[in-house]
Amino acid sequence: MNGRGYYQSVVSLDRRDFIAGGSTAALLALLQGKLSAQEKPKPAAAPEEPKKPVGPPVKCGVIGCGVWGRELINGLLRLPNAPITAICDHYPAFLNRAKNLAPNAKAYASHAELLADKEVEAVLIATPTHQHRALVEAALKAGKHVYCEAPLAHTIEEARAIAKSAKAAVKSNFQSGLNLRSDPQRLFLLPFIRSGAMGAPLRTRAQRNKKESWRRASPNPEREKEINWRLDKLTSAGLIGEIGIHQLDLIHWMLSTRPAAVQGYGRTLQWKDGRTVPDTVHAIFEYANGMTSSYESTLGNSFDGEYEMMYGSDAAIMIRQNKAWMFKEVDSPLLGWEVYARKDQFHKETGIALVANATKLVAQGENATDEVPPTQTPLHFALEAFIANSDITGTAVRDFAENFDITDIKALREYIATTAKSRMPAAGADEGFESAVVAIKAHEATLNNSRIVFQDDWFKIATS
Amino acid sequence: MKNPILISLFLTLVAINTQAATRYAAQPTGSKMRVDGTSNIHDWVVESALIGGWIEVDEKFPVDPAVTVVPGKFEVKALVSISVRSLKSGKTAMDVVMHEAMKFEKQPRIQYSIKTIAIKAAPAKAGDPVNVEAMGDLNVSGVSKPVTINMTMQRTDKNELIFTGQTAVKMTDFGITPPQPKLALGLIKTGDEVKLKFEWRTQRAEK
Repeated sequence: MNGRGYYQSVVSLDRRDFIAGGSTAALLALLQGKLSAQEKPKPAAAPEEPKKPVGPPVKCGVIGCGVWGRELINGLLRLPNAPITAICDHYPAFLNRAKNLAPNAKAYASHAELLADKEVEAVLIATPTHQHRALVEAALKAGKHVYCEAPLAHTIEEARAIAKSAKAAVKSNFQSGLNLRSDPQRLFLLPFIRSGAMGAPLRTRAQRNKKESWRRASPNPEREKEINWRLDKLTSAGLIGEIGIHQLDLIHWMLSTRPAAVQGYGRTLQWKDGRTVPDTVHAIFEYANGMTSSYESTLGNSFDGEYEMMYGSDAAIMIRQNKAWMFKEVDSPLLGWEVYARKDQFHKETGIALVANATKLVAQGENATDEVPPTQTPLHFALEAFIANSDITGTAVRDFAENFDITDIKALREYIATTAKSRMPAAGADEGFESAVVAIKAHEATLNNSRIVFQDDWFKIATS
Repeated sequence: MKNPILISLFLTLVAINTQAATRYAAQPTGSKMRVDGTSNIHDWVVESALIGGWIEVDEKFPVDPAVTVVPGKFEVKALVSISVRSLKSGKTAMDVVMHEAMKFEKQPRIQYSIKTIAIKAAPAKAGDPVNVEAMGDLNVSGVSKPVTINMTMQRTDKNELIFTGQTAVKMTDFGITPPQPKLALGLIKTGDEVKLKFEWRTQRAEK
């Protein structure tokens, strides 16, 4: 934030205010509907937030420069230690757009060329889901660290192949694109929920409503088919596989569980354009402890957007847009700190805000009940973790090779394990695979409007 | 070469000399190094599980636990090597500050070259750990200083030598400025003195 203080007195929002540089605070004030009468006094103890020390750079190559690939590029550009030395896409228009974002990167039309580039240490894969496997296997074989977007694959067999290669590639750091696993707000919630603050978990629900067709336009028919892989059941993991997977993974992670069965409903109601992937889905999950979850998503309506709810006997927890609230039952035990916490009204319910950096706010002289300043996106934290962890793995391998026989894989694995405590939280091969199995099968249930019982075998990776 | 007798004599002499020194190479797993430090806010610890290097001893050096130890001063050749970046605290930010303070890019390794090992007395029971005094040059951040470290040497059999010990050093002795990183909560002033504790496992190298 600029040095002007977070809240500004806004008497009239004329054009000059916006243009004169007061726009950020004014815009935020508008969006949050909050107007403060006076400017907040700057806290004496902490002037400008000092720059966080970051590790040495890890040179990155991005394969797949579509909409999300370019989002990854922008994310990497915002990190101080993630230079993009190479980009790749076989579609020239996408490659050109990416070149505009990263003009110093070498632009390759084939992934083989990018993987042969010795400069590239880490590869980020953001191609269509059904192309992940071949790329991950090739990248690991080339000795690169790999970030593979979620879902790992559109079939369990391919997801398993990816997880198996990733676990076998000791010298590579592998991260799956379940970015919420690196997000500080969710990490903050984890011990809170695991400590049982909710009481006994009864049910959960997650939804994602957004009116969008998912269909991309293209100048020619072959490209049109390729670019709309999400709409074809042969190449797509559907609404649950491509988007719901993040929300479901979050819930299963928080509650340390995975479903025993799933009943799916899938319909194409809004976008009847010949697609074979439903645009409106429901999935109900059953768990061994009796709990149930529901996941609802539609591409036909945007009301109420995206959020997750977990209902327990003592409280319900809502996670929405990087924030979380707890709604306590009247008969639940007092935790003690509720009196001091910020509360927000939701229609008739009062939510206690679960603020990740409340302690830090207080230390800086801010009030823990103040509006939480905007933080970085989960993608930012996931990329930060990927770079840091790739450096840790890479350095460990180099140190080991310098002193010992690098072909002693068992000893190498043992040594790398001792560096685990320094790693930043991130989803690895195990997490990526387990969530992929759940999401792929749930999607399958919505395709066939059926009930599927999860088999333990499906979750086994069986490394040799 | 012209004279076969001279050649074979030369080669024999060389062979005798190389046979006399036995090399023990660092084992890839099982070693550990720990640095304990202080600051005005909290104590800190960094650890590494990787200690590389080797030690060469001659036939007089007591490597066999079954044989009675004869006290004395033994000339040895040894290089103990620790990668600076392998030292980790568990917090990335602190590791970065520490590695930079140690100038890891200029000098990526801490190295201890041992020249002499002195054994003052035999252990009470044959096969017990032996108290030894290692004398050599410790090189940290490009600065070399003679340092003596008291250690115990364990011999499980003739093929393994395990050195355990500790010593205290001052960062400033090696040209390292104790880091004073500015963090959100204020200024951290690191203490100058640190304690080094280690266990170094070596194994007889195959010829």
